[in-house]
Amino acid sequence: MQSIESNNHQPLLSIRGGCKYFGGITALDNVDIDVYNHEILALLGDNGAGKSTLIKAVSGAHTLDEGDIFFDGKKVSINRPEDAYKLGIKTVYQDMALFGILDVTSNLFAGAEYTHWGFLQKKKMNQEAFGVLSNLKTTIKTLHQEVRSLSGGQQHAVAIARGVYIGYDPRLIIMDEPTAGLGVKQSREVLRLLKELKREFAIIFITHNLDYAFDTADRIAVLCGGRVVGKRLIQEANQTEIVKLMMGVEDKNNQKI
Amino acid sequence: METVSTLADQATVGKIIKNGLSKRPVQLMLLTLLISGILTMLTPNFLAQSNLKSVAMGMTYDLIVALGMTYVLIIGGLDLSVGSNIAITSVVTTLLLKNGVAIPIAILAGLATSMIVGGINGFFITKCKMNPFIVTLGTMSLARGAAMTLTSGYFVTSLPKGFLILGRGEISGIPFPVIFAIILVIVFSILLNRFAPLNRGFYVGAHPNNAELVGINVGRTIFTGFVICGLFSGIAAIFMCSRLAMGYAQFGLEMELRALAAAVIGGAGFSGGRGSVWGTFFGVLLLAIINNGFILMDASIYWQKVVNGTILIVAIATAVRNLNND
Ligand SMILES: Nc1ncnc2c1ncn2[C@@H]1O[C@H](COP(=O)(O)OP(=O)(O)O)[C@@H](O)[C@H]1O
Ligand SMILES: [Mg+2]
Repeated sequence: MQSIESNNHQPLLSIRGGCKYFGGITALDNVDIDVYNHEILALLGDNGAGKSTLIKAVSGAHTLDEGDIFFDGKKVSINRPEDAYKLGIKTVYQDMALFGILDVTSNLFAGAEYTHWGFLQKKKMNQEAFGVLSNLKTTIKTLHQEVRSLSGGQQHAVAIARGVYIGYDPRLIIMDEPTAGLGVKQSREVLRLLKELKREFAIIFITHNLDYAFDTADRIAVLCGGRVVGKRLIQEANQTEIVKLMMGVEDKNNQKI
Repeated sequence: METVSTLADQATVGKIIKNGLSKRPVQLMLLTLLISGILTMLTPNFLAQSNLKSVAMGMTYDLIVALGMTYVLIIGGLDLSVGSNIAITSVVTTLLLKNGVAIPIAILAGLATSMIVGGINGFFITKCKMNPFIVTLGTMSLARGAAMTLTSGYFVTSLPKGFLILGRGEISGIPFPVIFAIILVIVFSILLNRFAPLNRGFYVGAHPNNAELVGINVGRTIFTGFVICGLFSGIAAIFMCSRLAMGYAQFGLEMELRALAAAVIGGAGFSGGRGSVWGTFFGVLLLAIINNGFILMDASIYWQKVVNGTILIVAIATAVRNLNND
């Protein structure tokens, strides 16, 4: 197994030989991926390449059919979202995975409520929600409105707040298409946040947008048809080549890295 | 789910009132007061203690069952078998009593029966991914059929005296079942809003896939919800048998419609994630008072049925329309 040299020796997260099948579809085909601390790995690929499936295997939404996941050098099994939370793997899903008819605080603490003997500590949750949203400088006015009544940008803030700041402390943050549906200004804001988070955590950033990937990432992995067809350090990558890889044009240098 | 402190705005008195008036239980309470006021003016007997007692007693079974229905609606389900569950639970309990089984054991066996019916619903809905409407329609006729078979259609009577206290005992003129129902409303509303395992039903109903993504055990929550709903029907059945001193395979007829209508009037819907204990309480109270008005004004039983049926259809049709809009 070859790995790219990096400023960290041991990856925070590694997947080896990851396979996932949906009926006849091979969504992931023998995937090897490494993510290092204080780095942003941009995961690129066309629609249906398997990006979401890959990160769902890490976040506990799916389990791999074959292959192993290593975290901090130890083999781990992630069968449920809770297993991932406990390792510090936190995910902001592509469609944000919010509960439209529930209020802001309920959304922020979904699945990670503060409880005492099973009873919700609403005051504590509201205070923390207030603090986190204030830090994110959102324009959300009240915590008790339905999330679906918020603007797209505000909903996005709720999803990011939940994925990053609420509940278990993160070590690896996964963002699946966090700029999808956002305006240029809001997208810039997300990229700035990613770079800020990188100082403390490891990041997997899934995107379609090559400019955004080149702007933020330290390394790039390209998926196509469920296979990793290329891995590049950002200094070695160029956009034309990455586009070719994403489109499935075979690259003879591919196996070198 | 509940009003919390505001982020930026100050909560003013005006806002609190406006907020309150936008809440379903408050609207229903005002409507109930209005109708009560009208009935007080139209009929001298409405406020008589005996009448209020009969209203309270009459709505108790519906209330207990409707609370279970509310929870099932919150988790995104529906339970048509609640009325038949009352029938089978009443028959099992009273047959055991009649055959000399100790009272506590017969009651526990009855409650276990009701939970098994709920568990069967929950099993087919979560494990076999079947539609709740189909599954509970099936158990609805299955449970009633079993009750009829066990009794050949006869009443089960000659129950021990001790058993009758449960339904007929009173504390300062208030029947035990009414007291129980009031306590249940208070306790269940607290648990639903505060106790995390129950409260997670809101997430499950609001968006089952996302609930799964954030690590909530959706299947277990739904299964438990149906068992709880079954248990509530069973509790209503025990009180009914005790008060009426019999078990009967025709108990609980059309109960599912009234429970559904009350829950829906109270703010629950078919799309899940919505519903409240106090909303359902006022929904049941409203239906009970409207019916009482018919009785007090000596309106014909046919008209009563027509109006009742209309209310049920309008309530349920509104819920279906909201489902399509969601
Ligand atoms: N739950 C699922 N059931 C069946 N097929 C799926 C499921 N999730 C993803 N797939 C399939 O797996 C492939 C990869 O999908 P996905 O990971 O969502 O791609 P991406 O996120 O890169 O656009 C696609 O062919 C998709 O249709
Ligand atoms: Mg995707």
